[in-house]
Amino acid sequence: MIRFSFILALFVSSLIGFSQEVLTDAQKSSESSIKFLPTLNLGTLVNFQDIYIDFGAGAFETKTKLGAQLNFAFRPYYKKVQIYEEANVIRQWKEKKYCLNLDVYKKLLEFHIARTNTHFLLGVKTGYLFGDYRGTRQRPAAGFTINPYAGISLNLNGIHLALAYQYFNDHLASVPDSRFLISFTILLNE
Amino acid sequence: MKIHPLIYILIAFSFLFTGCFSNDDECDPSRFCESTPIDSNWVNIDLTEQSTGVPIVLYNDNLEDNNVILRDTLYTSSISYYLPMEVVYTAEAYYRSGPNTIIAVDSRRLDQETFQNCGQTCYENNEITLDLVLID
Repeated sequence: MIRFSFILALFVSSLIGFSQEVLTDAQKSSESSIKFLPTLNLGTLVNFQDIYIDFGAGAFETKTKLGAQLNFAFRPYYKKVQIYEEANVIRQWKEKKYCLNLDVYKKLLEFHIARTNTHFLLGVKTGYLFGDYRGTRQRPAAGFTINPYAGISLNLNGIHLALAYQYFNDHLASVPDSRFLISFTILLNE
Repeated sequence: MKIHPLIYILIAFSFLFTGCFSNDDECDPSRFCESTPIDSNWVNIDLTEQSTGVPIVLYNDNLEDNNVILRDTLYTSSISYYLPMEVVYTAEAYYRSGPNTIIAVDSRRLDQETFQNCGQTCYENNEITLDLVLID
């Protein structure tokens, strides 16, 4: 444990810079041009019936404020679901679901909430939804899904917090399609 | 010196993942150690009680393998069976609900888990519970 912590501390300390960045004229002029920043994000899609954890990485373009990320969302537990197997026969399975998706979003109209830089946020997560059940080789119906969302994005000292409403149809009649999206995104080299 | 927020997140994750690394040097002589492997353990089944009884079927492995271990009709909300370890158990419960039959399914592997203490391999007594309780 101590060895692992020591190696981790060395790794973390290697990432910390010890000098101020000095910009050249060429670098200053390039600041007004298109600039892509790599992003990392971690979030959740939640309503009163269900929860997904969502994480991924991508890039954000600072001039147009357009971003794209490859994300993986998953339900971190087995949820009981009831599916009609045939007339008058319902199966109650324990189901896990996953969604590999491309998240494309745009930030609009900067404003301030309590001195925090805030934007309106519009986006869509398009991906492939799949899953499994416990105790069987049968699987839930898989397929492509398009999940638009809208909300706001707050810049909290370099960590961008997105709060949005998302439409997410995961093919379960017992779970509403409306979800609340909470996501933290870090823009690297911001 | 400005520290990038990523550093804070890396540190936070390091605390989460330190639990994933076992420490073979640990030694607590007062800790109970079962040094012989356990060959069987309890498989508990929880279900929703119905006055007419709930038929259950217990299988080895998946339903499709159709390796039936036992069939029973239960008038209580739980029951336990003492069964061999290192096997996947799958249970079905058949409920009547008006004109419909609801078949609840759950499955778990009855695993033998071990840990090291003072250089000795200790076997843990982990039961499993198959949850066939109906959704409210």
